[in-house]
Amino acid sequence: MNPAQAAQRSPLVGPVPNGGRHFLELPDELLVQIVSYLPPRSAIPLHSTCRRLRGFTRQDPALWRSLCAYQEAVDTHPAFVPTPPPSPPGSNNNTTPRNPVPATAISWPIPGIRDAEKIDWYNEYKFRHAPLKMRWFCAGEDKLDVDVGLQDEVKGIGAFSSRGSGNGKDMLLSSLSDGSICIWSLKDTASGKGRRVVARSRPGLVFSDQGDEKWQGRRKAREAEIVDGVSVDDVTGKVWVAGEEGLVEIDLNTLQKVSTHRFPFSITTLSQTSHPHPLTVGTTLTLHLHDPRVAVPASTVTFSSGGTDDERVQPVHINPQPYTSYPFRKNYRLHATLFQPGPLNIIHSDPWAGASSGDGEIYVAGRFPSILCYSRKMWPKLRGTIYSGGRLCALASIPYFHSPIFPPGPLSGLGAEAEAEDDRGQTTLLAGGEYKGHGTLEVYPLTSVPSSFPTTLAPTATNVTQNRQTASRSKVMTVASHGARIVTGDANGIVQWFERDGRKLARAYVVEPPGRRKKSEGLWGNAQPTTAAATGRGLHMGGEVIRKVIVVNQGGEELIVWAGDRAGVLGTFGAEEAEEVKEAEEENMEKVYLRKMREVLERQAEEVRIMAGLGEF
Amino acid sequence: MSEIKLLSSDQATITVQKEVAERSILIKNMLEDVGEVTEAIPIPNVNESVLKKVIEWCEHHKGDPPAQADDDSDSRKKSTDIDEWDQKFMQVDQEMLFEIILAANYLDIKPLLDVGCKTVANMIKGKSPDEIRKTFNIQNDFTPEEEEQIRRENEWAEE
Repeated sequence: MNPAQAAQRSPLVGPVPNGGRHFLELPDELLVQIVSYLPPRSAIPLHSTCRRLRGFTRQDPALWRSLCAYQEAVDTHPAFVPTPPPSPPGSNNNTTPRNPVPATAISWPIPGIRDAEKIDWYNEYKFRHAPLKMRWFCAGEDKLDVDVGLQDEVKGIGAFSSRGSGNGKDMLLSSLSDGSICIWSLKDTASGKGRRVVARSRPGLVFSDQGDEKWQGRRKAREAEIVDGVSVDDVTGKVWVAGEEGLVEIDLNTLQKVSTHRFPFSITTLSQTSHPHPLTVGTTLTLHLHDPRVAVPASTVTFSSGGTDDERVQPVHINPQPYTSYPFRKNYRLHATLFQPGPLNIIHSDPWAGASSGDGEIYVAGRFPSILCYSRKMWPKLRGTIYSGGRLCALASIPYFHSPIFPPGPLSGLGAEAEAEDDRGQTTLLAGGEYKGHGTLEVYPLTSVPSSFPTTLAPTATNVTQNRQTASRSKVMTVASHGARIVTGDANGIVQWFERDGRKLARAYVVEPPGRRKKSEGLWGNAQPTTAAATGRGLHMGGEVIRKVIVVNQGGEELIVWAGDRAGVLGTFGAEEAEEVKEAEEENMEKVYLRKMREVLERQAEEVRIMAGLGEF
Repeated sequence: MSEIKLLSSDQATITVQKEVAERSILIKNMLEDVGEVTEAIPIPNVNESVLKKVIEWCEHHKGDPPAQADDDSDSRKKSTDIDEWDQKFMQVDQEMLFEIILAANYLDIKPLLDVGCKTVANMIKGKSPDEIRKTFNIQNDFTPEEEEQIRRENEWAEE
């Protein structure tokens, strides 16, 4: 770079006494090179010095991507000389600043992560190495919060964006055991301003109005089984809740019930809505595309509720014929009949595929040994299956990402354009569940190019990863793609992060319910969390079952965790929590002090009385 | 040993051994292209004092094995580990330091550029944002809201 160009002073540069050079007059590639010599911790303060430095220490993914790789090298080989970040970007004068990612970073953690994914590598670093903290929505001092969290169990969660944009989720919506819907602001939680309830509906909103005992019993049974019973569509402002009498549609703005849609069987799962595509509803034996635009007054829905009672004794293979005789509503007519009961998780392939989303695949996992694949184009025909053999209950996908066991090539061989073309058809499907009493985490690279779909749907056996050894000791309840990792939650209350090969454990965190920490202070001390973070093994018991994790982006990637009957946010927060504890301690001290003072005063008064008594003699 | 002349931006002529001057890949390539020159080679971006300083470094390091394009993994055992002579050499005021870095970049003297960058990296290491701003006289151009957001994002590291 020509120093003469750099000599043009930026207005932001402060006065220099001798008229000499200023730090910020160095061209970008030299600043990048300087920064590349810094260890991670020393690079962080540069984020907050000025915009220009923030530009390439924070916004540009190259630095933190290489620092992630560097930390990984340090952690896995303790003998590794800890100071040099691997081949700093821009150190070679021939390297253009546009392509400063060192070769080591490209191949880490596993190859194939593309720029199209827009991974925030600083967050990636934080979630891999910074201390993690859990903030519960119920742990606030606010009376309302306490009411909500401690008395009413969380029965379903969904995240949405308050701006109705579909991304940048900043609100958590939850259905509670009293039948109400409650909304929390994630922003406030992240910034430590407390866990403010933004809105809460009347209790019993998602329940039927009849208080008859039959329904009560059903409610109990239902509560136990549905995990994905809440789906939020922030674009149209609707919330779908699987209530005990069917699908309850709630207006997000007024938190009033709009309608109730009944289905021939009880609902077992809802897909997350992906506007403009319809919600997919899974019932014990059927799948429905529920298009809210096909509106039919609830009063016209008539079918004998007796039918739903037999659901538990249905044979595995059923004849779809009897059900067509139900007076299904228009959109129910297009249902897919399952040949084995119990869908547990449905995902859509649309959100990441953009306009050219192809056929809009729908993947279904449940109490059957294969993942079922449907597409809207061919609905309700089954397009294909992916055999797993395990009992899967959770699905997720990694867009733009393909095959963890990479054939070397796609990065080197193809031009940028060809790569962009390639990205769209590439998706990796993640599945979690149980296999012979152990947790299983399965990674299926899919090539879902629409034209060749039926033939290439079933991935070749060599590319599939089915981690049934190290995934978890207990059932994997939930799985999601989190940055460049896969996050899982299991029945023992442990959240684990795996690399995208599905095998290498990146980190583990034991979720403990609030309050437990205080109890375990003396004997267990801090030993528990540290060992857990280090290995994730040797700890059989975390807290309660992790039912679901949702990745949200709110000033950094955070994770909503629904564990047991509570929901909270897991993130790399600062020290707010400690202050709360301190406050509580102070309060306690004050109480103790007051009590002691009272005792002292009472004793003194006693003494005076005795002395007075003595004087009388 | 042949000698060549260099002409700095402020029109000072400096005579230097060819071997020393060829530490600069720019000059080396130029000499290869033009062959023998008797006139002074103009170095328009570097003034006399900086050029002298750069030549001082080149004199000391003239015996070093020539830098290869991708030897960084070996030569950089420890990123901010600088040899003693270089450390002393780099004990100059900030302005001169940046001038040296720019000159090294322009003249394409990679080892000198590395030393310069490491020296600056050492000045940043372990400092708080405020201290860095003070050290380099950088003005804070964030709005309070942005600052708050950044603080929150980084607060995990403030321990």
